[in-house]
Amino acid sequence: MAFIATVPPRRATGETAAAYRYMARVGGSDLVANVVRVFSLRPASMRRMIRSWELAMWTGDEPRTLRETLAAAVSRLNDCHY
Amino acid sequence: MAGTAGDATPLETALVALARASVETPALLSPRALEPVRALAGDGALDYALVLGAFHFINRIADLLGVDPDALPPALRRLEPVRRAGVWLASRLVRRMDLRNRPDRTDWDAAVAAVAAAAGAVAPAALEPLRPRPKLVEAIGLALAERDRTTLDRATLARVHRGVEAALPREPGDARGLHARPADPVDAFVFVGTRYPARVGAAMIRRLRAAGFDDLGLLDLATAVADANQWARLHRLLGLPPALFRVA
Repeated sequence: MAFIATVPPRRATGETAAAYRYMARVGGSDLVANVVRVFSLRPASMRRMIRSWELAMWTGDEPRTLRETLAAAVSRLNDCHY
Repeated sequence: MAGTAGDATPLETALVALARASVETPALLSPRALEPVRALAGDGALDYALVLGAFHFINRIADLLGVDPDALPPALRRLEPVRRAGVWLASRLVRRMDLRNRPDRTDWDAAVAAVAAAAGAVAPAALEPLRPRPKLVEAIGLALAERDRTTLDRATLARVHRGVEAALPREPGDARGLHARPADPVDAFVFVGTRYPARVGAAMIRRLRAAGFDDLGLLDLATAVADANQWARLHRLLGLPPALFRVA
């Protein structure tokens, strides 16, 4: 459980619910990573998180596998589960 | 990493070396650190710099706010059958996602104008190194907008930015060792969150709450630390002026 309160998708309304729908459009599924959900107290920040993630991992021509390799290396060296 | 595969491609090897430098000696990064990747991937090096910055941000949000893993918690991963079942389940879930690449549709002029408006005195020409990948300018604009909607006052924001720069590892021991932490809870959060974010725990959060931080304040403080760490790496790798994002 995160150190701060979050609004789960099933209880989200208004702008928060819209931000969750935006995540579904970007990811192509209703899966919401917990690192996105932790921004749910402020929908504008959640949208920023989602768009930044999309720019880094989806946008452009570099192979997804190599982007994931680099991301995994950073996470491993930072000793982070993400 | 000791476990890097022996048959890794030159680009994979260069990316892992870049990741290591960004964690162990980020204070020493410069555009030269990106050259091995640029030699193999051309302007794709800009894409990888963005991935690197994004994951320094994401790792810190996860650790500084105690975000639960989406997959199995580390304790359960030690049980091999459970770990295998977890990998199988995670792969089934991720398969539902659309992970295909999308074109970079960011408009260069609009993205530059947004950054110039938020950053004040910084000349748009400073962003020229990013012209092959306009999405990087958009990402910087998003970080600036986040910086400007925070509930932290400017003095606290400047203190976070100074603290991140001061704590940024200059040698591998800085990112791993045991060091004296600042006594103030905000300064301690910035220091630990920069050097070894995985060590932030509930006790540090309790001290911040006692100092007056509520849930939104904690979100903003963690975001400020994460963004300053992302920026500390990006501006060095991409040759951008530090003042573009940093609050003095």
